[in-house]
Amino acid sequence: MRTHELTLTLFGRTGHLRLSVGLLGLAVILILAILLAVAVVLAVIARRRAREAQRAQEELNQLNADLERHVAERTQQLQDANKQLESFSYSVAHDLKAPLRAIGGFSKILMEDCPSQLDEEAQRYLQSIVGGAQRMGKLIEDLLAFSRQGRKEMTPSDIDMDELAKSVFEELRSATPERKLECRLQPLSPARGDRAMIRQVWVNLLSNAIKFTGPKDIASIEVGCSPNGADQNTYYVKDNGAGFDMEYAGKLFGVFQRLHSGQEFEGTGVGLAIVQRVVQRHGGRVWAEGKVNQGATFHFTLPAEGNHHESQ
Amino acid sequence: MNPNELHVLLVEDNPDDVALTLRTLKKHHFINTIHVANDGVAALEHIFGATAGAPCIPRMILLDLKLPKVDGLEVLRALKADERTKTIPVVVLTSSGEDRDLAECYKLGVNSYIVKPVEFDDFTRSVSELGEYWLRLNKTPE
Repeated sequence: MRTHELTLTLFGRTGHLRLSVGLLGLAVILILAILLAVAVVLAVIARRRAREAQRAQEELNQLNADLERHVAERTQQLQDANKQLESFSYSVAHDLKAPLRAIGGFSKILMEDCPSQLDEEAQRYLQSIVGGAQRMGKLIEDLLAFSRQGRKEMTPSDIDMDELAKSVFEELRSATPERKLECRLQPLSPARGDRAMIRQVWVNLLSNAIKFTGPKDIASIEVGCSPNGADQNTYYVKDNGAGFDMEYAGKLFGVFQRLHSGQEFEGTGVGLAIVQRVVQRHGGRVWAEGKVNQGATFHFTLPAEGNHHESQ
Repeated sequence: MNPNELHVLLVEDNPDDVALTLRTLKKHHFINTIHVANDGVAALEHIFGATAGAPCIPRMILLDLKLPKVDGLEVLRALKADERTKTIPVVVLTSSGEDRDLAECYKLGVNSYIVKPVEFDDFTRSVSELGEYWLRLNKTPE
């Protein structure tokens, strides 16, 4: 009985022990299985995510490529359209010159060759025809110059603005020896751009300053510059001339836009449009301040010397 | 004396420009003979003739660029490519002041390039000055 009990107990203990070991093993296996299952699930998820990410990336790449192609196509179309427009306006302006030469030319020939057959009134009419043809010729020339500034290839270099502004001013001064011109040239930082085109900017702005100070006894013109960050400079031309009403400041830079009549100040209204076109092609901007009869200041920005940022 | 000495060829398709040019050249007593060709084909025929023979050598050729059939650049190319005609002074007289036209003409060996002024007085002055220069001052090989 004792033995039996003992055996039973032993057996019971052993059985318990065995049961415990068995349960433990089962638990471990279970845990391992769960871990394995979790790992497998995680791996599957990770793989799916990676695949999705890859697919998304591929789609994104495709979209980017499509977008780039579209942009390139549209840019090309725009450039083509722009070129067509430019060459259209060029050939229109160009072909207008021959008939205009005939209108002015033969009117003059009539006046020269047949003066006895023309009374005073007829002479006056012919004079108006000649004058009209001359003005139109000037408009066409200026329009062609404007169109040329838009089509010209640019060759950028570093430009000594002190020397350039000074030489332009001296040239303009020698063309108007009868005028009293005072010009203060402040030191100008060098710029980077197409020298011939930027020379044209100085010519147009300085000749405007000289023109619009015409009624003044002494024209006072100031040229200066301030750095505008590391890669841009702002230049200005200031005068004490006729000025303008700031209400119309937006019209200053339009082609053929004029704020003064031809009787007051001659011109076709293309000079400032050319200035704006050149400055914008260099990635800069141009603006003006003025007051009627109290002068005007024209500002423009250009890339600083050594700034190789591409412009159009 | 060379019978062709004051013989000028004017290549121009616009009748008004022809009239204005002729009037100026005649008024300033430059020329005895001016032959007018209205297009590039007529110009080349006048110089080289319909059949192969000695070409006609004018003292000067005034050449417009925009011409029917064969344009001025082609005429210039043909003249400057031929040993017999390459020494004839060719003055381009055109409405075009375009850089590419200028560059192309000088590459082909043009002797002078004048942009026709729109204004009559300027036009007259240009034509009479170029006549004075090329027909009186300038010397060409016999």
